[in-house]
Amino acid sequence: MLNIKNLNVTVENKKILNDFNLTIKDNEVHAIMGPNGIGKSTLSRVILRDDKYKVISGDVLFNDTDILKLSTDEVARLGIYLATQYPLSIEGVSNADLLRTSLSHDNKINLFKLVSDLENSYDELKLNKEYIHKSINEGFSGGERKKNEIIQMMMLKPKLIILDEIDSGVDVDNLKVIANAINKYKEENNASILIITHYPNILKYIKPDYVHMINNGTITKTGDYELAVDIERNGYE
Amino acid sequence: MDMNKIVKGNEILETTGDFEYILEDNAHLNLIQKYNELDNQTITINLNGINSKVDYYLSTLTNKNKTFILNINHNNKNTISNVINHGVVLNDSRLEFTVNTKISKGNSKSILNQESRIITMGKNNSIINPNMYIDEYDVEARHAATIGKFNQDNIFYLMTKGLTKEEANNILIEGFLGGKNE
Repeated sequence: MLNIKNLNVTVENKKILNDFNLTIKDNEVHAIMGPNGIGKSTLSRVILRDDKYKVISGDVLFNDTDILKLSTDEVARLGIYLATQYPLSIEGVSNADLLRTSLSHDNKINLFKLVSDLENSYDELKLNKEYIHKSINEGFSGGERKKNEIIQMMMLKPKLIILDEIDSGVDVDNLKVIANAINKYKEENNASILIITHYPNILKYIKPDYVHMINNGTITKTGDYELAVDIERNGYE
Repeated sequence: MDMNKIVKGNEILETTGDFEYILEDNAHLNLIQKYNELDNQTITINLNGINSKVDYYLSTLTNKNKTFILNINHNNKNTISNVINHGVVLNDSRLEFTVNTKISKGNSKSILNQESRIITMGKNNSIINPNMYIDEYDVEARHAATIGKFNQDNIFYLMTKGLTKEEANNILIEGFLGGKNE
């Protein structure tokens, strides 16, 4: 599914990723862990083609497509979804507006079905359905913003989901609701997941097949869930 | 002035030209102008009655030069004016918002709010004149005036959800110009 080979990336002339390698196969869950400021979120931004991040060398292939040649929206429409760490509020643009525009690319959308599917997603995430037609994330709490990211994911039906610090700003009850929705989606759609986190907490709810420790822009250790437990006990040193 | 109108109770109005509105005691005028297509417009609102209030919203999308002038006179006590001007300039044209709000002496406990924002898609030649002429201490006054471009982080966010850059800009324009007073 996703194959990252010898990736070197700079931002503002500072090297952030250093000969980074990672392969994610269909239906796998990978977690990348590391302290703040060492390139975890950079990876998600590079995959989604944020032009602030400059790729010096290396390859990023998604089902054999070279995504470094694509724009952000083209990567998204290939089936890669980023649930971002800080979901922004957008004045005057509702989830319904955004999703109707995005989903209208490939086929004619049925507006009735769109709204009905949206309502079901809001129920599943226990989010007020009145928000469907209100400005995205305006006045939302941290937990509501993260839930909204997952609702958009459920509607856009990606194959690879990148969860960037999905648990930050979310209390334990809401985290369980979010994790249950993600696990259900993965089960039903055979999706792969890349979890980016500096706390192992989220991994109690979304079980990873592989845990990678990252430092100085490269993976320094790979293991299973036990590695996350070890990091929680002993830190990153 | 083309016309003037006396407002007595609660009125929600849309307007299409130069007008003068005169508000009597306790009158509330809600004046909405979405996607105003005029090239020039001058509106004057006289808050003559005690406790009178105006909520004013104007949005405009333009690829040519436009000037909008709004005069609000607080001519009595306990009067309130809330003004929102939103404009998007598609090329290098000039959009001007001038808001002149005046509170003369003795008209205490009055409140004025001005918010004018212009988004420029091309080179900026636009201007906002947020004028407040206040000759009374016991009032509340707030104003905000910004000219700039859409936040690039918002455009990136929308593109990560599958919208092209053009679609992202279009949806932001629609949200910015049509999003108030719903």
